[in-house]
Amino acid sequence: MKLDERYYNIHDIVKFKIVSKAGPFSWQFNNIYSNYRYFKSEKIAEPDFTVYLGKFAPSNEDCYITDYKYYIKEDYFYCKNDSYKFANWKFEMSGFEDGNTIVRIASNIFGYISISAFIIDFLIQYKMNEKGYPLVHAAGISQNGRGFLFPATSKAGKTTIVFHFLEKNFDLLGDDFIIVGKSIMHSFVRPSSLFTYNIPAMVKKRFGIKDWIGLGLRYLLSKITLGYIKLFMKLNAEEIFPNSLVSKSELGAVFVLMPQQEFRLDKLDKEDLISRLVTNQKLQSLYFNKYILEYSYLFPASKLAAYWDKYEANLTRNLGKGVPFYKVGVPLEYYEGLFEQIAKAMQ
Amino acid sequence: MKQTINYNIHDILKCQIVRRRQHDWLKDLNLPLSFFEVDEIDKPDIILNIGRFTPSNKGGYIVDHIYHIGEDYFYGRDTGGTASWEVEILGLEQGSTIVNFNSRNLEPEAMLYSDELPQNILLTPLIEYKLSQKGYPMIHSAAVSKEGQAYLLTGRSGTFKTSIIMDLIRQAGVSYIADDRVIIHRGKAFSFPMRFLGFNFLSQTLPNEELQGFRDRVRLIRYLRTNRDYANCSVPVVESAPVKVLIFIARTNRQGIRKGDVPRQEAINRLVINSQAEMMKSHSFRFFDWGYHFYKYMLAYCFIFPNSRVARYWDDLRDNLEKALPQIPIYEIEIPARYDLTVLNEIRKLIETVK
Repeated sequence: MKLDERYYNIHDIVKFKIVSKAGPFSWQFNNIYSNYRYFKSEKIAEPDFTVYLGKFAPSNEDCYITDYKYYIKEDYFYCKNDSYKFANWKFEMSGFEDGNTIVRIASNIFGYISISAFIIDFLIQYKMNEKGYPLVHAAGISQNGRGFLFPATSKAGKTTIVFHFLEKNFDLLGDDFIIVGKSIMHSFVRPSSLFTYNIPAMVKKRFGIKDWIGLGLRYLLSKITLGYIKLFMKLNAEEIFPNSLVSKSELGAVFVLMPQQEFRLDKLDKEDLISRLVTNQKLQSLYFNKYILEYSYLFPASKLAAYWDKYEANLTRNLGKGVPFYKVGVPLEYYEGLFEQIAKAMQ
Repeated sequence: MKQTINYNIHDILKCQIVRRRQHDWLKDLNLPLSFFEVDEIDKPDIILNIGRFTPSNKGGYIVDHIYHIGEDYFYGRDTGGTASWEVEILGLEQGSTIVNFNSRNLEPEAMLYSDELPQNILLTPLIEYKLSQKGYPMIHSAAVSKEGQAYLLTGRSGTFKTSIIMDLIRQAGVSYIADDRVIIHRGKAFSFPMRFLGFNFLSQTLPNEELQGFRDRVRLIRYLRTNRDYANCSVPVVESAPVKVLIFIARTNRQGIRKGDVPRQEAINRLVINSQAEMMKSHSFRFFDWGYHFYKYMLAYCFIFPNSRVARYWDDLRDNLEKALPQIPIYEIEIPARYDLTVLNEIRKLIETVK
């Protein structure tokens, strides 16, 4: 059986490998590959972790069993089944406490659409955090080497802000996650997820009839299923804004986006900011948070159990002095004047 | 026509459910806290209103497009399993808490026990939350009483806690305190039975906690239809007793049984993690998983108010447990994947030899 091996390198900080069996069904992994396409790399000798996609037989002997479905022993975690809407998967992870981390994921076809968000993204975060580079759920843009970080929960307007400022000749660091090094933002670019509510005007202008129909059908499907099924359109920002990608930038300011009735701008102290960033990250990784808890219950002194404490410590160290932190009240509907006010604050 | 149902939990916490008057075809399942039902209470700590409501919309902040959050205020629209609902929580931080809840459920079973949903995803976690605030932390543990002392058996889900205490009650002549959660305060354990008639049926008629097949289900339904009196249950109940020992049970797929001690700090740490993990899963007996909404609501609230009491909840729980749990022996026992008489005897031995 031929194996399809792909390598990814995130700024030389975290490197990983995805392995699957090449075959007539390998197209179902395309969504995963395209998520990390910006980090595609040549063969890597020692990846930080390796993901095997497809059926596997777990080596779950000599384990603790909790909640009827988690099999746990030192440096080993196996979840027999888990699900989100139509997606369901099983996965096994070993070597996460030290050294050679190996992850095996088997899922149904819906699962392979969402698995990168539930498992692989978290592994990247976990490894990044181990190396002192916390990943933050935020958008990031920069101009003349000065970067701006926009942490926010889902649907707060991260993508909208990014596309607006790209039009104003800003550079792109990412619209979903940003890696926060020591007073430095490292990019984490991936295709943007678009739906009816966040398509930038600039993008709409370039829409052909096919795109409109595609969007219409997605919208209809979401309405019919009462929001249960929501298929995002994927868009690569650099197709519209060529040469807009930069790999890093000095951290200039942080603006936490908080949707509310009207625009307001308030200073934020560091402790408050970090507490919000941690909470936001937990909200973003609910599934993995559950896995961490199950493992920590049996191994409370492990690295995995210390994950959130270390994350908080890393943020405290990396978010430098002299960088201003703000929270920005943003209305649900963005308008031109709002961007101007944010731009003013960025000055 | 409105109906008010009152619960008094050991005079520690009082709650009230207000809903449209209806006949509970399976009361034990639809109103799982019926063990605590009383005619009247004054000053309820939690009021759960089930039915249509108009949100007061005090929430200035919006999270995820579906949660509206303000000081001491939460409103959200959400879905889980086959149900969708809207919920409003007033007074999460202090004073009495009011929950307004309205749902739509496509599941056919929902006709039989429609009120279980809000109790499952909101009332029960809120009770746990409020109890901890009052210095009465709740832990995920079973408990039995013998000669006026409480013996606690804690563990993650699926460690046969319920089966073990069912057998202990039948064979070792102990009394019931709790089968899933127990309240701790100043070294004492307080009972918290949920769906107690169901437990009573299981321990009287079945070899273990699992319903085997359709026949058992029919028998359970017939039992619940004919028995409605919590005072006449054959399982002896003790409402509170001083804690004598805490035993962690871990299930493994190894052979044999291992025993050991657990240091107190580690034990408290693990109890807090267990509560967190439990709050991240659904407790419904039903097929569809509602998910861990209260945990999510708490996080969304913390994002807006990082210095609130809600944000300190897990740290407070740790402190409260520290105070509530007496200096007692804490053991751990690892049992094989299959529960049998050997396991039961080991646990009996452990309980009987505690000094």
